[in-house]
Amino acid sequence: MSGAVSGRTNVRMGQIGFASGEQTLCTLLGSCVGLMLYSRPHRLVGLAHIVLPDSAGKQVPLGKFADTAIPELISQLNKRAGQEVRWVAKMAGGASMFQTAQTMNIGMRNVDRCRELLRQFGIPVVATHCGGQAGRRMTISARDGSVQIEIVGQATIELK
Amino acid sequence: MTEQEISQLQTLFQQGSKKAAEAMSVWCGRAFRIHLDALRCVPLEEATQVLHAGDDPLCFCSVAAEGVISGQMVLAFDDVSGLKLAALLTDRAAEQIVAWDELSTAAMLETANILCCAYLNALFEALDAPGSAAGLMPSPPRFSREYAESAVEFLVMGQALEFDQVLIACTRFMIEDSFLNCSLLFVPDSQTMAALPGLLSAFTES
Repeated sequence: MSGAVSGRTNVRMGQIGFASGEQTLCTLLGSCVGLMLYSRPHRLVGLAHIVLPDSAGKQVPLGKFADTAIPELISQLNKRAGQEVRWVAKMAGGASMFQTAQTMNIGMRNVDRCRELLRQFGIPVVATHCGGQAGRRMTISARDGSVQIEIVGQATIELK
Repeated sequence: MTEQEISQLQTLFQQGSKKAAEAMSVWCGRAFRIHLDALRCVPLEEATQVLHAGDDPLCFCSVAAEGVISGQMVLAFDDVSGLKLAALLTDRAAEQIVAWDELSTAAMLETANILCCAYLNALFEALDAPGSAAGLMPSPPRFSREYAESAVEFLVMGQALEFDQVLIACTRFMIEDSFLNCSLLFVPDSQTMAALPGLLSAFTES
C-alpha cells in the first residue's frame, strides 16, 4: 500500500500505511489530509493520505476518499491489534496553496468530512494542524504516537 | 485520453514551447530553448513524483488560467537554478544573490508570466473553437517555496475531483548551452479535461 525506506514508510496520495514499534510514517500534504490513528498501549499507528471527501460510490483506491479510507483504516488496525481498540486521531493538511476557484475549498472540505466521520466512529481527535496556504510534511512515530509537522521556512511543530 | 489526442496535445505544446522560447530569448537577451520533456497521463499516486524532487522544497511561480482552457501553469525551480536565472535577468553576479530578495522574486515572477502567457496564447489560438466566447484569462503569478510533492498534489486536485489519472505537461529549459533545473508544469483542471476531446477535434496540425 505504501513504500518503506529503512524503517520509514512514505504514504503517498490515496494510500494507507501502518507502522509499529520503532517505525515511522511520513507523508507530504497539500490539500489532502493526513489522518493518523494511534493506540499507545499497542504502539501501533495507521495513516491514510486522504485526497477527497466523498467516494460517490467509487471503491478504488480505498485510501483516496474519507468515507472509504476511515473505515478501512480502522478495520486494518483492529486486525493488526487482534482486537477492537480505542483509537485516537491526529490530523494535518487541508491547505489551499495556489489560487484556483475549483479546488479552493477542497482542503477544508476534506478536514470537515474527516471530523464528521471520526465523530460517527466515536474516535476523538486529539490534535490537528489544518488549513492555511502552505504544504506540510507529516512524520509520525509509532513508538509514542508523536507527530511532527514541517512547513518550508518555519520551525518544526510537534502535535501533542 | 486517446493516444491521438495526446499526440495532438504534444504538437500543440511543441508549438507553445517554440513561442515561449522566443519570448524568453527576448526577455533574457540570450538564446533560450525549451524542451517538452513529457506530456502524459499518469496515475494519481505517481503524479506527485514528476518533479523528481522528493522531500526537497522547490520554488513555484504559479498562474491560474480561466476560460476556454482552465487549470494551473507553474514554473518550478530549485534555489540554485532560480537564483542563477534571476542574477542573469537582473544583470547581477550570481554570487551577489544568496537568498530570495524582492528583485530576484520579481524577475522570476515576470519569467513565469512571459512563459505562461506564451504557452497559453499558443494553446488558445490553436484551440480557438467556434463559440469559445469564454476567452482566456491568466491570473497574476504568485511566488512560493513548498515541498515539491505537496505542491504537485494540490495542482492535480482539479483533475482528481473527476479522474483517477492526471494529465501533466512538463518542460525543461536551456540558456545557451546550459541546462537549468527549471520545469514548467501545465495541469488542466477537470473542466478542461472533459472539454479537451471536443476542442482537439477542431484542431488541425499546421
